[in-house]
Amino acid sequence: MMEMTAKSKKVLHAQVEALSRKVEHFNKTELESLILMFNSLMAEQFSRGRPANGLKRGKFRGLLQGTFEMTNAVMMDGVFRSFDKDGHGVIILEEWIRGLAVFLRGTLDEKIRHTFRVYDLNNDKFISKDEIFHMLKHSFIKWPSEEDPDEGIKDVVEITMKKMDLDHDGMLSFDDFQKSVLDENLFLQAFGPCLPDNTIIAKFEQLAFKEPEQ
Amino acid sequence: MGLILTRAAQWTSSNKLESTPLNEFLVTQILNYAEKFVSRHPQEAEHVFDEPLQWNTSLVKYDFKDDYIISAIGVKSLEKDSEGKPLLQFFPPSISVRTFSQLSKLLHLADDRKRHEVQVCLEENRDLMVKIVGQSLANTSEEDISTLEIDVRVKLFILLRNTDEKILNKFVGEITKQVKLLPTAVEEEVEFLRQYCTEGGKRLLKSLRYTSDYEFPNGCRAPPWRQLLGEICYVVIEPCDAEALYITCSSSGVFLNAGLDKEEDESLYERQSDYYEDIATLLKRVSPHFEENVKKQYFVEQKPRRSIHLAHVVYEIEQAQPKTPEEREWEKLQRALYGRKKREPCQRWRNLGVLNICGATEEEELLMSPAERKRLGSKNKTMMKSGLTAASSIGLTASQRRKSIVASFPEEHFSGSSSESEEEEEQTERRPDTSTELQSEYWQVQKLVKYLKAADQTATVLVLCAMMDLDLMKEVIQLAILDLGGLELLLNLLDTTDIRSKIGSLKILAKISQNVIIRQTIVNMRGLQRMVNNLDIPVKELQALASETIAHVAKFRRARRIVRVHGGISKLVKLLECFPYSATPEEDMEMNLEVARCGASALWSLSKSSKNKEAIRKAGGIPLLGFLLRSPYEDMVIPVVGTLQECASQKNYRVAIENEGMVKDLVKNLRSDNEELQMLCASAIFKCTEDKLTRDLVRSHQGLQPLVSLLSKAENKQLLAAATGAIWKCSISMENVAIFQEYKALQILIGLLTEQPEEVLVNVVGALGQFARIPANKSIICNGGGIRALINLLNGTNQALLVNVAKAVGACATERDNVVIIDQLDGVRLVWSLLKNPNAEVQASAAWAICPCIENAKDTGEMVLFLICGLKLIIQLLKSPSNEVLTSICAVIAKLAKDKEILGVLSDRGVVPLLAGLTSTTDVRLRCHLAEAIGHCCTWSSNRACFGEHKAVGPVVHYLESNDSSLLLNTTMALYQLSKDPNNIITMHKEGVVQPLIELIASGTDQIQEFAAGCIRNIRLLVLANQRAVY
Repeated sequence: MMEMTAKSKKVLHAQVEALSRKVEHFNKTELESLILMFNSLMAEQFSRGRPANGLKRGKFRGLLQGTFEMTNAVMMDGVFRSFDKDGHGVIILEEWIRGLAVFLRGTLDEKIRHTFRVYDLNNDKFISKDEIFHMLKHSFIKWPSEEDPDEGIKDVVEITMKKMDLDHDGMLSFDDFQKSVLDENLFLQAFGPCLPDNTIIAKFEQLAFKEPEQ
Repeated sequence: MGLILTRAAQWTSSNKLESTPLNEFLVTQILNYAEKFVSRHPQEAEHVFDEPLQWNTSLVKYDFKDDYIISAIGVKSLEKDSEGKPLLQFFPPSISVRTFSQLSKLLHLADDRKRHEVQVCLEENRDLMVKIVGQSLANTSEEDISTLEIDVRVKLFILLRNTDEKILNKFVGEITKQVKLLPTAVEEEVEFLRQYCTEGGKRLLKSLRYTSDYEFPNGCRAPPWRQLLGEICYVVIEPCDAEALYITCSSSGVFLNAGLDKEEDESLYERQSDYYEDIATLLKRVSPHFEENVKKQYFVEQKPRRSIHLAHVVYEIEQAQPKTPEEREWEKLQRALYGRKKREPCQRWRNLGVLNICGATEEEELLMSPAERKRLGSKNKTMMKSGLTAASSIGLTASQRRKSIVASFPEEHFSGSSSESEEEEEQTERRPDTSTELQSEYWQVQKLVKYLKAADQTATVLVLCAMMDLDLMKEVIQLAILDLGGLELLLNLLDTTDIRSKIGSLKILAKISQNVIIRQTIVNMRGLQRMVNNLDIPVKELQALASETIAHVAKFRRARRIVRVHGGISKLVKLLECFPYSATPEEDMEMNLEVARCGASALWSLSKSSKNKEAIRKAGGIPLLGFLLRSPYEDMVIPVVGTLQECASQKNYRVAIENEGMVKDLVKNLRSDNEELQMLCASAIFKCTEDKLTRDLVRSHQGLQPLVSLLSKAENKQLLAAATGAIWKCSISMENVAIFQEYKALQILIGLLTEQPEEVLVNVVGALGQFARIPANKSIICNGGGIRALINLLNGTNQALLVNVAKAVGACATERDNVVIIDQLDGVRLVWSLLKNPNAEVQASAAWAICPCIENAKDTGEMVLFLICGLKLIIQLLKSPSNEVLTSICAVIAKLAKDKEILGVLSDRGVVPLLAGLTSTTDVRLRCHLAEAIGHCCTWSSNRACFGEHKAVGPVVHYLESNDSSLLLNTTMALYQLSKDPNNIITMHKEGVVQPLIELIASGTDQIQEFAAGCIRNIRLLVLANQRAVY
């Protein structure tokens, strides 16, 4: 950890205070570690010209890939979109903390909101069949070569829609999605992995929260 | 055979039988028939043919043996007809045969050439029937047969006709296997459906038309280049509830095309749906309206149309067969609509209610007019030309065949592409009664399994979710998953690292594992090991599901063993620790409880093996079970008590249940509303209350009253059996009996003596036996009609029940008045006859029951003497290996010996040596009753000396070393009796009897004092007498 100036300490303290009022899942020490982590990620971020006001997509994807073991590009973009609530194309500190709160400690409801945002590729508040198809496109890996895998994928999309599209409007609204997940938890990450599992969470928390205690 | 040859067999232009599979089939059938004819119909076989059957045989004269006269020019049979002509004549190469018996002999001689012989015979005798029975008879029509006089010739004729039919039927079966969807079948179906395009209530469809009005000579309407692909025609159908459907009918099935109408664009021919076997099936799938109404339609329909006539070659054969009109119409109808398959359509049309069409009332209508027949006949000919040439050209002359060659081209293709649909059939054939709905589920499973094979993690979970939506409790689906390789995939998912796939897989496995076959297959595929491996992955849902599935699968011994061997039990026991921290958040708590519940369920299944019981205990399961037993959740308590009551068969558990205070909780749950839980608790108490402390605990926790109130649930037999069992065992303590009586348990139990299953009766009677130890209860049992019911039960065979009944009857018999009643009901004889039972326990309890009966009988002699052979039984049982039986029998003998006459009989039958042989025993109770028996037997003449001779005295003297007062009493009594014989005294003296006897004179019991003193007196008298004799 680099030496902190009194001033930056003060800033940090203020940030922790402010965020602790907004975000439930972390205590103050944890918040502090996460802020420091954010700062160091920002510092690593190579920026030309004016300094970036938040984590850029590329840097964030690197983190998802490295730390959270995600591989699917569509999912990583989705997670970025979910973190980037204001849609400005960068993740600012508050979005970082809020996003991680869901990632690491989120309630089922928070997670449902998160994954819905991930899967709603065009951000129109609906998951359409096309979007699902896009996400599942490469899901058949051992498909017999003489057959068209799209046929099978389309069928899976159809079957899944039939089950989840409760109001039968041909698209998944948040309501449809939420109810489906509450009914069958396996639908939470129906169209791709976009949440870390328990072991990864444990690893990350160890990495992020251990240092300041020393 | 006439019809077969004219209609079914395929001839070449030179009047030979073609070597086609169908012809071979025919020849084989006829050959079999001819060979067996003599043995089946010996009389008819001797009938001489109207004309001989003649053909050029391949046999030579050296083939003929004993029964023939062999001359230079040929062979004649020894057998001759009434006019003296031989029945077989052979002038090489021509042979003529005139009876079936000769024919079959000939075939026998021909040996491996017999097929050839039959074939040539058939070829050269095309008018077989005429030759055999004569022209006039052979041409008799079916209707006229009944008017004929029955003589041998007519019988033969009828026999042949019937055979003809049978072979044809088989033949039809052969053909239909090969036939596929034909233009004619399609045409008929279209016509049929068109009937329902009308307006009004019957309406199934809006409209139906072909895309082309031009029909090719072969019946197809598709353009020739499409015919090459097997397509027959295209139909446009407007259902009532959907857009117009563009349908292609092809030889391999019916499917939706891309909107083909008037052949505009080649791409429109593309297939857009699955294959269906006919238009109706497709419509049923696409149009709910059609499906719904098609059923009603046929049931409502009063006067069915009779226009569905078939145009199928098989029909022609069919027509030739004498069948009832309904049958014929029914078969026609099937063929008309579905020329290619036999069984399935039948099933389906049955479903649709078509069967109604063939109702008896319409019989008249359904008979066709001759004109119609004719029309059909001509139609059939054209059909033949076009239809079946390639598949099975039946009944076509050579000229006809030539004409049909051009037209038959598409059909050639049909038969070529049949393999695919045959495969399908093979798969479905395994479950012959699968209806269309079930089949669709089967395909659904097949599709999902295919996806599952290909899918990555994300798609896998989606496919699993889709699978969960199937009705997994349905056997068809369970077996489909198994058959199609789905089970293996599901189990493989358990080996992956993806938690969600595992959870999805287990959600399905937990359900389908309720099927026995699936369970066994899971075990065979090492599924249990994989589930056990997942038990320690720290994901609660996974642990719960894995345990639940184990609970289902571990229903048989091998499975239970596998779980134990692979360390499953300790893992499962760990899952019971659902309260690791008191500060667990609430939602986690719920999941923890679920895990513990599933763990307990698994242990419950596993605890049926005794080694597993031990393993659960060693893994520290007992305190955890005890802890969960206190949980307020019924769902949790049920598997916990289930496990405990299974394990309570082991002493360790009973002690633990006692010490860990579980009795209190068991009693508490007796008051639950859940009958299963009540039953399990009662059962646990039943098993635990062998121990006195537990009985007292049940009482002190007020458990007796709820047990009695459970007796009112007479309809739940399992519960009743457990409750009565608990009452029985609890009533071993007298204090408990008193409390039971407060709640009128006795009266209720007596009421339960009739019309209950044996497992209940055993316990009820056992309890009565315990209750009857209180004198007042004995008369309550007898007066309440209980004794009659008990004695009736003596006629049963259940050994556990007989033991208890004998005990109860014995207990009642200790009251003098009751014995009278028992004797009147023939009870004594019945109890006595139980001595014949092979089970030692039954013998012993019967013997114990006999004792009070004898004791309290008005006249023992009278009661027993008519049971002389009963005494023989008693003697025999003295050879029993069971000490308990010996003890009880000695007791009986002691009672019997009080009657002099009986003692005489027993002595005659050699009771003394047998008793003497037993004296070496160390069993205190046996010694006690043995001594008593010996004592009482001494009263008969030479028995005293006899005991001495058989060396019974010495051992008996040593019985005095015991402290048991009743043994001492009986022993002194016996010694006193024995000491009346001088030789015995000498033996006793040698064994040092005097010292202990002198001590016993100081005994607290008067009788012992008396007997001891009496014995010493006898000894003393002998000594004195001796001294007197010396001096």
